[in-house]
Amino acid sequence: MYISRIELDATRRETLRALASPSVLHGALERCFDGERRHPLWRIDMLCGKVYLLIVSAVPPNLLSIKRQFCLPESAGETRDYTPVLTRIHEDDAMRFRLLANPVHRFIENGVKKIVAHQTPEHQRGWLRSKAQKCGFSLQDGAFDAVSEGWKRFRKADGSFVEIKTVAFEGVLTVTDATILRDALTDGIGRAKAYGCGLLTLARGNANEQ
Amino acid sequence: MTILLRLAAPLQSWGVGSKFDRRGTERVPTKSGVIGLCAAAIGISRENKEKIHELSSLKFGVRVDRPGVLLRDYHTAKSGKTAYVTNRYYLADAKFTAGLEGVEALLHDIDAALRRPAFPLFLGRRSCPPEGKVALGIVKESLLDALRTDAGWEYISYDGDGVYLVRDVPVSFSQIRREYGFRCVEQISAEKQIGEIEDEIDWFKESEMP
Repeated sequence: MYISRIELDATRRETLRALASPSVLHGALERCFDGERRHPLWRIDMLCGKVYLLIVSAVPPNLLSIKRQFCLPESAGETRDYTPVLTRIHEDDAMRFRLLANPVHRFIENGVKKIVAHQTPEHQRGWLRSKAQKCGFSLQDGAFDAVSEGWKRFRKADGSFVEIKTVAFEGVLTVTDATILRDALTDGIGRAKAYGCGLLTLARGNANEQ
Repeated sequence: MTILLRLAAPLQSWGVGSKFDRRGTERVPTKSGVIGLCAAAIGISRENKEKIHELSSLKFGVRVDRPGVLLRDYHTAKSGKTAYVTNRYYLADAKFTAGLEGVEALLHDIDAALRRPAFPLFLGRRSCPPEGKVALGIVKESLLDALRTDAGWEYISYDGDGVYLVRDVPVSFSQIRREYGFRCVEQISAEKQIGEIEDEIDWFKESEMP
C-alpha cells in the first residue's frame, strides 16, 4: 500500500471547481492509475492554511494529471510506502485519528428503502461507535468528537444530482484488532469513498496527553 | 463616556442596501440598526427626525467577538394570488459588543431605556430577538478604549476617517420615506497569535505516523 500527498493551488479556478464538486477529483484520480480500476481512498486536508490532497492506494499513483490541473507548478507531490506503517499497528495502541466520513442510517419506510444522513452530533458519534466495533478499534466517550460538518452538493457529468453530508471526526482511538483495523485503513470506512470520504489516518502524536 | 451594548442572538440581520426579494445582511451590526434599537427602547416615534438626529450624532463602534455563520433563509411570500420566493440572510450565532460615545445625559437615557424598553428590542429584524441582556452599562473610557479590551475578539469597526463609506446613518425611520446618510468606517484587527495553529497534526509526516 502507498500513501501520497500533493499540495493543491486553491487560487486556481479548476481547483475551486474540483473542491466544490468531488466527482471532478474522483475522475482526475481515476486517471492516476493505469489498467483496472483501483478505487483509491482520498481526502482533502488543510494544514497551516494550505490545501492538500491525501491518497491511499494499492499502487503508487501517477500524479502528473492532478499536478497539471490543480497544483502549483513547483509542488511535486510525495508518495510513501504505507505497508511498514500498517504493520507497526498493534493491539492496545492508543493513537490520534482523523476521519472524514459520510455517516448515514438506512431504514425502510412504506416499503421504500431510504438512506438518510445523521444530523446531530450524538447520532454522528453513535454511528462512528458502531463502525469502530467492525473496524477493529474502540472509542472512549469524551476522547473523540465530530469536529466539523458540511454538505457536498454537486452534479455529476451525467447530470444526476449528488448530495453528501460530510462529518470530520477527530480524537483518540484504541486498537482492539490490528488486522481488521489495517483493512479499514486501506479500504475506508462508510459510504461516499469515491467522493473523498472514509479515509482514516492515524498519528502517534501525543495520544497520552489527551 | 461610552455606553456598551451586548448584541448576541441565535439570529441577527443587519441590512444596508437590501432591495426587493434579496434581503442581505452586513457582517457587523449597522449604525442604523443599533440607533433604531436604542430609539425603540426609549420609545421615539419613527417620524421624530430631531431626536433621531441626536442619537445618530453619537460616535458608533462595534467589536466582533464571534463572527457567526452566514445563513440564507429560503422564504416564500404571497401577494394577492402570486406567491414568490425571497432570500433572507442572517448571521447565526454571532456575538458583538457595540459602543456609543457622546453626551452623558443621553447615554444614561439609553441605558435606562434598554433595561425597560418602550418597544420590544430586536437585532436588525423583527424575527431576531436578542439573547441575554443588551445593556452592559456606561464606562468612562472613550469608544475605542472601551471596545479594545484584551478579551478574544476579531476586529473593531467604528466611525472614523476611513475611506470606506457605508450608507447607514439614520435620518428618518418614517415608513413613508426612509432616509439614510453616509458615514466613514475604519477597522482595526486584533493581533492574532501565530502559534495558534501549531498543534495541527500532519497526518502524512513519517514521524507522526504509527
